[in-house]
Amino acid sequence: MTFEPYFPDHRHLLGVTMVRRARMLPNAATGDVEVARGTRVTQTDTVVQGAAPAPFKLIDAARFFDVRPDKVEPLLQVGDGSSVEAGDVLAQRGRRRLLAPIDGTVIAVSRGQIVLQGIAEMVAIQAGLNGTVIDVQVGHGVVIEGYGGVVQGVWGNNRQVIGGLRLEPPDGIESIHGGGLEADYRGALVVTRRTLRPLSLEVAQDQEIVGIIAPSIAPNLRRAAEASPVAILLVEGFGTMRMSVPVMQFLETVAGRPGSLDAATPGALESRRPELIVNVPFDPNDRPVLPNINMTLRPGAQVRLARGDSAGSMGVIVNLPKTPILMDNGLRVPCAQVELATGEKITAPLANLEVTGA
Amino acid sequence: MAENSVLAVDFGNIHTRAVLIDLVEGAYRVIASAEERTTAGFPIDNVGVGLRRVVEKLSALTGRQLLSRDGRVITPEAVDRTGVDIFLTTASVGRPLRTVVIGLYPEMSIASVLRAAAGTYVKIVEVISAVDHRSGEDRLNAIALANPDLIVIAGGTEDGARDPILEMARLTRLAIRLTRRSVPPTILYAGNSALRESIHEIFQNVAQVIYAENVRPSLRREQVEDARAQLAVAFDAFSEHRGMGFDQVSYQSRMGILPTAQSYDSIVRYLGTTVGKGQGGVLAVDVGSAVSTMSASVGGSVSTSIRTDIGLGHSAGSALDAAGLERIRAWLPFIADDDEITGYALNKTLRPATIPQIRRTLYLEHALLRAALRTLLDAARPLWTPDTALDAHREPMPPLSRIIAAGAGLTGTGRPGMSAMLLLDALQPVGAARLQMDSAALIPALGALARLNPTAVVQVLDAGGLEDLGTVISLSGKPRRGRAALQVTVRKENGETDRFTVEGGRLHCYALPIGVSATVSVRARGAGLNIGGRRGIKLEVVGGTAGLILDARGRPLPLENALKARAEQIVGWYADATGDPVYEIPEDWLTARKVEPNVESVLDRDSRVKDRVPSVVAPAEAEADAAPAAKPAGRGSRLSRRRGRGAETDAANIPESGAVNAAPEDDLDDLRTLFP
Repeated sequence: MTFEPYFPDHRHLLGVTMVRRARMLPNAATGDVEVARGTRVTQTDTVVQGAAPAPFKLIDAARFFDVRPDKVEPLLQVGDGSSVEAGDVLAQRGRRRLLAPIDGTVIAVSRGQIVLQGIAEMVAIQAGLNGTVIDVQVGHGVVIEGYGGVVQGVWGNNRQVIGGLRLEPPDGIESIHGGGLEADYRGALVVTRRTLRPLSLEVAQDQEIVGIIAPSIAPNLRRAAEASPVAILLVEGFGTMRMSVPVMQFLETVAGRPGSLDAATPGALESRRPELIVNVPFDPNDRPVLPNINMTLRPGAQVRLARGDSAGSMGVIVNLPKTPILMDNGLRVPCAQVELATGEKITAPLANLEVTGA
Repeated sequence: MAENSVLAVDFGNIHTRAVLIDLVEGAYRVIASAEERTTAGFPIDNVGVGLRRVVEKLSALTGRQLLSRDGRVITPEAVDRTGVDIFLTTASVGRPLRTVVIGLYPEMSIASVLRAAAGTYVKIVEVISAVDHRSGEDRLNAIALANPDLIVIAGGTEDGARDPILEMARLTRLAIRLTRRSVPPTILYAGNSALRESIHEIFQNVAQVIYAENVRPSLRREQVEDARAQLAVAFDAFSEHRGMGFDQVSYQSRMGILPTAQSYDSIVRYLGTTVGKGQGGVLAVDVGSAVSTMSASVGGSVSTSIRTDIGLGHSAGSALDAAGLERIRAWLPFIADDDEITGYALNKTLRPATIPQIRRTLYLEHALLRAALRTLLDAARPLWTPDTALDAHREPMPPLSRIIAAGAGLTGTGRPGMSAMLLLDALQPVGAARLQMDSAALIPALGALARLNPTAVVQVLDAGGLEDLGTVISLSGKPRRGRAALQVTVRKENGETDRFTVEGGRLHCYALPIGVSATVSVRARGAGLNIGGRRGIKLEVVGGTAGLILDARGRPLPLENALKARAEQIVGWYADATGDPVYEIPEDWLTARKVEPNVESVLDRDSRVKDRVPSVVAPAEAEADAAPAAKPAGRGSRLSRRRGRGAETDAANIPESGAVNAAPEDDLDDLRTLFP
């Protein structure tokens, strides 16, 4: 029997794999790549630095000195690229001095006007994984290839941190508050199997936890999560979903190892996924390969259910009906029959099946 | 040499769809179509892979080799019939062009630019006018910090104003030079044509300039067509810079990558010309994952609106913001707190390709779809008839002879009746209209092809390239439930005649298969009821996958305010549309409780279906879904009992109170609607 190939969504959960990740400056930022192709980098190495755009200040020197624009240049006390502080002299004519209104850099002098740019917010991008720089895009960033365990989630609060992976205490993150183990979690990436609550966010910040890997958070806490200085990765989404068992099992096996949490906020068609990359040992004589991104659904394929009764569960496809199936809810869509680890067989839309890259 | 075979591929945010068109016995026909997942974004990040997959699928379907060994589309067609003569691409995928609009006056050149931009995927991030009272420094920062991909400069009638435009252009040049981007924004100049040489000098060695005819050649005249065409050029140029493999695709395609929305505009414009006077307009709506488009030809004018904040997948969260919680809640047959609705929308943005798997989330998805489509309609309608712009949403829809739906949320239900119902719920057309679906992205293909071979476009449309759902006849007024509201006579070609009535408050799908013609006479029964302003109509109809649809629910569509009554009303309409048994809403859905958003596991466990459909029913071909037989009162007695005369809400005017405020940038997207 043949099946029309169906290419499912990917959400990787891999014990060890080859990882290739781009580390790029944000769109509007400009800067420099700090490493060359072929350089070995560690998780914490800065690979590209840049500056976010800062506002410009137009200072009309010609008007200030009441001269023609072409007469401004001889009066200048600064040149292109000069760094100035507020109050520094930009130009002088006799005893009359034109002072810099802000800290910044002289960008240009044009038609009698001095263009000053405020201090830009610096952006430094870390490697996020141990590996080798395999590509450099001048002014933008690099592509790094390395090895590690990967857990991808669905949402992040746009923070990137590196730390040791720790499981939450038995009574949850909230129990760290006021307890005796606080110091143990400082700087750690903490895994919780529980839905995040306001107190979880408070405690994480107070205890200087750098990152949290959680299943879910209430929708009304989204803004608070976005504002939190703690990097937050959601594995399941918004609501009160529990942590997927296979994800939790994996995280338990790698607890204690250093990891890089890229809590990227997903955008339309982003090549970044919110994810945790964990340093794990592997046999150098049997190097892992890249995940199969051309995998199609077929009987025997392992899949993860993204929605429905068994959301978060893993299963194996046992049948791919050739024609769409009428579901209980009234939709008629292409489906697969999936056998879960419990032995239960369920029917799920193909669109709701994800592969883990394995 | 004649160019006959055409391969057209449309890149959406979720799906990449391909259509193969060729000459068959002297006329152009759709030979085959196929669909694959778009491969922009993780993990592949190259749309070319999805292109190859979908074209390979077409090859498998047709037995024609369309790709070379290195994966490129073969052009032109060879003697052995490998390849195609023309390869075209359209796209709505990816982020829209961040666009700054610069002009003299908001109500003149800027308004015209915004109308021109309504046909392509732009996000207006700044509008700068000569009268906005901002300082030069503020304007400079506005341009520089907006980080635009495109800057449109307009203003000045022909031989009119010069200096203010040149001043703005010089400021723009300064902003571009200061920001020192590796790829500077493209400039589209659509102002006083006498200044072209000066504009060229100003931007020489700074940015690429595209020229369009002046959008306002005189105070009383507007011409946006050329600007629209040049915006398409800018869109294609942007595609080449934005990565994801678009540069390679654009290089292969005959006309680069055209904006999908412009195809809607072109095809609706053409279809509008084919409708006889007084027969009503044409409307096409595409509710995509990230972007939604609505094109209308009404009263001889054509208008296309794009909303990059309305969609059922990537833009589900912003669609919620745009529509408001109340508008969505009004379509739910159960109590849902804010967190449940918001959680559903947010989770849909995180997994945009997924579909509802249980009953409760189906209702959430469809409530979001109806509310989003209605919001899109409300924003678009003032542009159809500018003279009545302010009160348009309170007026009934203008007569429409044809309504075309696209987007997987509408077309991918696998139930034609359900798709038709969703369209009717959101749009509420009056009188008679032909409902069609474009699940194969034929309109994007034909819109692109129209620039090269209009004859082929006409022949493909005439040959029934779009899926016919059927003709809908809608009753206006407030029919009494349980009472006969429509008297219907269907006389088929073979002489067979059916006579029946449809009760008020019901949606009836009469089984009239595709291609079967019939003469239909329908009379409104009851005081104050009419069909498009008349007591009765007689018309020739052709069947469709949903049959002949008789919508006796009334206009404006009366949604019950009381939850229990609304729950019965909505599930009743689903049953009417699909022929499925009436789903019985569990009692606990009607009482406030804490629900886990998108945790479908807990939602449906205690749900019950009367005469429950087996969990896995036979494959599609085993079920006759098209429409129930002519049995309009299938739920009659039960419905009559339970459908009291409760308070109702006009579904077209559901308040938007409680709506989350859109982000300021999103508000700018709507500027075009502020300048009629």
